[in-house]
Amino acid sequence: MLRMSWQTFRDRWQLFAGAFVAVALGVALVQSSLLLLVASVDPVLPAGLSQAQSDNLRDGYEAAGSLLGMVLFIAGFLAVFVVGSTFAFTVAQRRAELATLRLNGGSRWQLRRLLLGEALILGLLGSAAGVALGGPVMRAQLAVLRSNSFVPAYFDAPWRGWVVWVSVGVGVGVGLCGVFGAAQRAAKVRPLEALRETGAAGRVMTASRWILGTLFLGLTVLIVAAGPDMAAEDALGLYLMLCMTLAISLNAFAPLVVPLVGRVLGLVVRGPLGELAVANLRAGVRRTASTAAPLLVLVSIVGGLAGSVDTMSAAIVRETADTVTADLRVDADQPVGAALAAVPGVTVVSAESFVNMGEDYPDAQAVDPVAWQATHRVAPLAGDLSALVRSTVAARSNALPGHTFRVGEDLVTPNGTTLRVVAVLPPALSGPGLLVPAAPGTPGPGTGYWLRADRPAEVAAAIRAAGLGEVSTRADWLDAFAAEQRRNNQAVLLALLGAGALYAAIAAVNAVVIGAADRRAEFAAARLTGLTRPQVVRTALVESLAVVGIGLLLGGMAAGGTLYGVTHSLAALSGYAEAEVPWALAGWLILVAVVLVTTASVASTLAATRIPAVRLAGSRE
Amino acid sequence: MTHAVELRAVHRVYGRGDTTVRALDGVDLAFPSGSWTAVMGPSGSGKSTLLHCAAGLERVTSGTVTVAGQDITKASDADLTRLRRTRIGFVFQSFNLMGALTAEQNVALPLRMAGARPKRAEVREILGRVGLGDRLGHRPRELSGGQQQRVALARAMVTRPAVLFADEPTGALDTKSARVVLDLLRELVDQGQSIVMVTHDPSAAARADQVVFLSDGRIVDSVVAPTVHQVADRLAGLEVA
Repeated sequence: MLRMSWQTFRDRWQLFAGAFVAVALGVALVQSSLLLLVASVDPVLPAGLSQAQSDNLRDGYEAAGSLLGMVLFIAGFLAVFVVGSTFAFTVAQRRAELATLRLNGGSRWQLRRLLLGEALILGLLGSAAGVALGGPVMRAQLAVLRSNSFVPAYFDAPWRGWVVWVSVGVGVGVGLCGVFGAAQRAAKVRPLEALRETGAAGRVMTASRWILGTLFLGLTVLIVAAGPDMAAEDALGLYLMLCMTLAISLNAFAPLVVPLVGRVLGLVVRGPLGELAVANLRAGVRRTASTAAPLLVLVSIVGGLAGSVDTMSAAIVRETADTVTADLRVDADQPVGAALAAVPGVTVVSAESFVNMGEDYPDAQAVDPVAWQATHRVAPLAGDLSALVRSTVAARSNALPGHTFRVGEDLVTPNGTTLRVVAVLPPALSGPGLLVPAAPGTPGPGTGYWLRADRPAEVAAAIRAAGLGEVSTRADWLDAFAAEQRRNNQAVLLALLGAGALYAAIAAVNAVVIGAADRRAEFAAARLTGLTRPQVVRTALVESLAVVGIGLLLGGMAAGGTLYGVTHSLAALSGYAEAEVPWALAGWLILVAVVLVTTASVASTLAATRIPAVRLAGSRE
Repeated sequence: MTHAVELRAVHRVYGRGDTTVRALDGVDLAFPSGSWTAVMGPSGSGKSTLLHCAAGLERVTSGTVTVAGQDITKASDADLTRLRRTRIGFVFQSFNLMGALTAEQNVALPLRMAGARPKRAEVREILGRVGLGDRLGHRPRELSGGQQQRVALARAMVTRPAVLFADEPTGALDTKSARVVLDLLRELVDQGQSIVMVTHDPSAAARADQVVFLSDGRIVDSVVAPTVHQVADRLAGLEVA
């Protein structure tokens, strides 16, 4: 059976070209992300760094790590998606051939094996190309990470032999996951279908589509419901899941939307060509839905994620602005708390020093409760912050996901210390989850200070003159904080977009090209009925653009749903949240999608109509 | 005398309510072994449905179907698959060859599906018998319609089936190619092969040993040792009626 798989694969290589590129790219991205990830988990830090510098480096590595993890995840997901839609195409297109196999004594299981074999071949070839591509892809990823200062310039990831096996495993795994649904559908092809000219139009909204769509919609609702309990740093991964589950769900329901869009389009386009395009669109619901699928995924992931991180950081910036009431911020290289307090005009100095509470536990901040309250506006939900002395703790209510804090309970940290909860503070999106009292007299290793001062401008000048550290006003500091948030988001999006957009481009072009090749006989029939070649091309173009519209619409719905979920869970946490819609990005997406699909559609229709119509109208393939 | 295929009180009904179509309405028919039977009838008379039901490609609504002594009325998909591997062969108007495979590989396909390792000589011999000994390595798209149908015929015969089902085997061929295919079928019958063929072409039907006529899902007539004129006249009579 594997030999036959190889023959059918070779015979229809054009069909598999897009899937091959997707697998190769997916394997390359997974391999390079994995190598970088492994190197960043346990980075070699140069000797002689200050605590702050090495903390900073570590934070960068950590951010790079979670970013790479996400790229890995998205690359795998999209590769499976592209391969899956390609195989769905081949099964729809080859129904007669598969039925012929059944007529000649092929069992259901053998049909499955034929497709699994094709997927295996695709996976192996794709991984071979992917392993080779891995090097250049890694250099590109490293360049992105370095230029966004996630990692220092000297950071590099050594080659590891075992990664080849992982890559091959991923390639083959992607192929087999992608073919799974198609193989099931192939097994259901009945022998009699070999005799029907038009394959089985059948029901497009199959039971499995309903089940899949409903299942993932349910999963989406669960994720949104779980949102408020999630630690803020895990939120991005959660939103990514949200985009994907919604995309899968809407993709399953896509055939329901196609006729609706057809009807709307029918109101807009006039004339016989437009009518023909609308009719084709509605007749080929399955084809229309699968062509729209990659765009749907692209728009939902890119739009949903961009909107989510923007909304999230806007909420964090606003929360921070609401919380901080200090006049000045000082960042110093060494403890300068006492010196700052001695500067004339300074009324309050609140040191920010982090205390490690142990592995997998939120960091605590050691504070002087009086000074902290004088520089921060936070009303405890229960208890009293002034009771924060000796072995006690004040906790944000969402500091430990899944744990509900009560005043008076004893908290045992992984370090072994037991702390009594004296106050429960409202939940927060950023900042420390736990506050512990600063040991009296020891100003900790902290290097950030919030100050209240009588005449801030003069005090700032005095601190600068004394060379105690870098001073900024509250407003300037908040601006810088917001800019940093934006910059981080952009780096994240750049990395995700790069991978995602490339895939969607492959998939969309792939779908249009395959679709047009499949329709030679139909185009020929249209020309025999009196349509000129340009008219056929134009009809196909209207259809393709309608498909783009469907993809954008459904993808927009998924992105909108994600954004709604994110806003909803942020609102549950912080009491306010306004969705930030990435309009500029949306505009670019639409433009690129239209240009890509238009080019692909016109080129492939021209190619499919190159041979005179008479010779093709009767041809079956 | 044993029968290659036997249909007893076979009904096949499509749809329900107002849109009910009785494609087969109580067909009792036995196709004798080692002989060639043509099934004729006007369009929509149910002749294709008859062939599909007789070959186990479609389930009957009621009645029983026996192929080579095996009752297939309620056979499972696995049973029917086994039947197709060992007891029956198909030839269709549309050839239904695998585009990716060569003529030789297409012919070997049923054997490979059945898990056998096809002998090269055997496959070549059978292709030689249909006059394509020099086209072994050609793919279907490199062959003419008549040649493709002969490959399909060789493929159907390679398992030495008890019954060969042919649905308009000459429907897509020019007269010359059609005659070659019909001559091959005649040769097979003379060697003892049972053939059930559906056609609307009187000259093809006249090559068979007997012709049964179907109208509105019922057997209405039959002719043994038919001539082209007999067949054409009866068919014309049915179409007028």
